[in-house]
Amino acid sequence: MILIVSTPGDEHALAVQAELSRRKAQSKLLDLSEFPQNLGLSIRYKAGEGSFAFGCEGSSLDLEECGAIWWRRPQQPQISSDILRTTHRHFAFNESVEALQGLWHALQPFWINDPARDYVAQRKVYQLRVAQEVGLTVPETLITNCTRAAGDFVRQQGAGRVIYKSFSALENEWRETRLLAENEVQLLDNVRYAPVIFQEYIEASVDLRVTVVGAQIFAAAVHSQDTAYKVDCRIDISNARIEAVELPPDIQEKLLSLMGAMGLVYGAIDMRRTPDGRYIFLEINPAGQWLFIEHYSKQPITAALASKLLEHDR
Amino acid sequence: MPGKTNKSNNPPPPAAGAASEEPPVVPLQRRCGTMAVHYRHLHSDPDYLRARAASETHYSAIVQGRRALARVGVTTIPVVVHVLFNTAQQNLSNAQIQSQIDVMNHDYRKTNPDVASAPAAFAPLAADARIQFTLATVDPNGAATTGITRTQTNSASFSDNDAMKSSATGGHDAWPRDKYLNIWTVPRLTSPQGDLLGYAQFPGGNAATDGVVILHSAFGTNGTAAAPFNLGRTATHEVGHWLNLHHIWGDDNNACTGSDLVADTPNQAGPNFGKPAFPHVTCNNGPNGDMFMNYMDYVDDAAMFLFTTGQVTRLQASLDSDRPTLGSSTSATSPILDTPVGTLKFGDDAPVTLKFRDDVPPPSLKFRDDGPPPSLKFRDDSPPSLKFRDDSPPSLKFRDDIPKLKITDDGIPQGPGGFGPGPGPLGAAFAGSGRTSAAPFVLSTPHHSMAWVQMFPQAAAEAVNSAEDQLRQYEEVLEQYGQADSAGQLSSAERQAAESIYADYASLVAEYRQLTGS
Ligand SMILES: [Zn+2]
Repeated sequence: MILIVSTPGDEHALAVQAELSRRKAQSKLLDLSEFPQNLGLSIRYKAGEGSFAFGCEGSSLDLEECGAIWWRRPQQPQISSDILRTTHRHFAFNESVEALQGLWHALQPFWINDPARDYVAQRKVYQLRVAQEVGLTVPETLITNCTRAAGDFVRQQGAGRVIYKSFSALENEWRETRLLAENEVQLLDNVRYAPVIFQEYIEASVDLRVTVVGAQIFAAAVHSQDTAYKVDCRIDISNARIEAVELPPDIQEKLLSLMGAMGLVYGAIDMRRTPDGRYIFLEINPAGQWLFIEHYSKQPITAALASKLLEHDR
Repeated sequence: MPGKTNKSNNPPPPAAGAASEEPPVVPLQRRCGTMAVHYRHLHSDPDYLRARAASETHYSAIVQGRRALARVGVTTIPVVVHVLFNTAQQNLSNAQIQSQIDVMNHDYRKTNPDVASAPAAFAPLAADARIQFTLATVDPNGAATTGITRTQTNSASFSDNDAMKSSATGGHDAWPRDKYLNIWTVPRLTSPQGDLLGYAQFPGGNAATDGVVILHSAFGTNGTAAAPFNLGRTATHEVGHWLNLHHIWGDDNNACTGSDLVADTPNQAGPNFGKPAFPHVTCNNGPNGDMFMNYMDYVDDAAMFLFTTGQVTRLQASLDSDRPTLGSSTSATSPILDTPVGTLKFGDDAPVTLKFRDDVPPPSLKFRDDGPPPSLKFRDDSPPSLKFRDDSPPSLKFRDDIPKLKITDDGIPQGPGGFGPGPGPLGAAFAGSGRTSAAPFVLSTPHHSMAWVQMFPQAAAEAVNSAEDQLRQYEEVLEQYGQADSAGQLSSAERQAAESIYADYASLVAEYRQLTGS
């Protein structure tokens, strides 16, 4: 049994489930927002044995039978609206989170990706350090809430040479990576309210989206420079030509070292190739999407992920 | 149920190679091919995948109260029945076809008499699905029609591979799904798992194969309809799928972990067959057990007789998002015109985001309950007319024919606080008294390209909705200031506050224009 932790509306989960079903493998989608209201959990220890199951009694999902778990898009527990008092709601929420977190750490399946590793790997500050350590080139970077340091960095890099971006990407407060505009310099005082990532702007001949599944590397060139927005290839992706490309062996090696150092089986890496042929690491998304790449590049990424899960199916 | 023949008509000659002597195959148990077909399309059709995901996202917004259903009345859906017959007997009579339409009209309006036999525990959940069906009277070319096509086919048997949906493969082409529900009746329906009573295509798939397929002997209540599937419930079940309902047990092979994505149906291990005795407890769902009398279980026709309120929400949500142009609504009044938008209610109920759901209850609906689905709104390139939109800052212009100031108790009316989605100054809400909120650097700068709306159409649509809500609230507040001003009641401090609010309003208008491309 292969377990996929995600939401019913996740097209990537749907794609992998379809591939697994085509290969006659059993998979289940687990939506953690169903817990604890509609989804039972039973963890037992007795006489030196432990058992872990979703479901309260009778037929249930024995987690020991799940050889592989895909930590795709875990949801927060949803607390019953029957509980009205805020403190009681918080208590119920905390208890639910604690039980689940303990559960994930108690299980020993094959993970894509191990939740603890996934959590750490999402941190952009950490990513840049590991990337540098494995020999990848990263843009000159300043992450700060010091307004003066931000101003100095902008001056040193020169006008029109600095991009800024945020750590988080709320769906409703989404911001593309942007080149700092002249008239935005005056807003730099707002940096004191929350830290910002400033980086030297890396000119691109192409953007690279590199999807790594185990030891397989699927590199795709995103011809962002032909689109309406050259700074961030994601935002006009529908107008970008996307094609499969090969990375130089030394870059491939470094990316696999990066995955190893971060303990990730799956990752989607954003890079840029400069006009003078250098490869610059921008960031890695441990739960990044690939269907938008696969659709154009025809690289078998869905199949590779399904295979990786199947290798460890019991 | 073999050997039932219709002797009243002159049967057309059997097609070459047809096995006319074979008795009709009636499965002993209900089996539906919808999930297998679903997986097949998921695997082969990226557009289906995307449409499915978008549909679930819309539905979750409805469930969480961030959006409301658009259709408030009863929707009437024109139906075309494509009768595919190999033997004359399978050329169903008009009466048999009408009997099927009648059954669906009872089942989808909760006027089926057997709903009265629901166990007391489940009876309160039974709901009117607010859909009715009528055989089409106009065909796709605009000509009069009975809503029935009849095609003799060489195929004595079809499978779940959609061959019946194309004239090139022994079937009949679908009529446009934006106007019709397509139903094909077939001589026999097989799958690798065994004979099927029917199958549906979930919303979001290929238009050419959209609709439901029903075995002729499980269709309607007379003619070739054969017990125990002779009460027309196979079509009720399949049309349920066509409207996005899942099997009630969640298709999880008895694991108790799957969900039909509907909250008011009990968790249930697997399908029930035949006519189960109440209660049938699985998955710790006692004392009432499985809701096996639900149309989306696998019981016999006589044992299924209800949809729940939650299922109705799901299928209505699907109508809104997946089939927005289908059917005519019989609701007498438009909620858009009837809902007063002027009620000032300053919300501290920030919209819930998809990614960071915390555990507070969903926010109550404010001005959201009155529009077409956001995807439509977003595509519409003429934004609703707004009173102050053409006034340019910085001059404060109020209409001078305005009645008296309404709010006097609290002194200065306050602007809307705690904005949710939206770029730039949308986040720079003022907290009252004209004081402008600070914003983190990244959010204090505007989008540099609006191409992001293609990437996050849902979020962009929400931003548009939210901006419209806020603009209405601003206008209400500004109108009150205007009234006070023309009545000579505005102090200089209040006037200052009004000008500050107006400045925010103007920048919101600018953003709204950027968002909507207007
Ligand atoms: Zn079904």
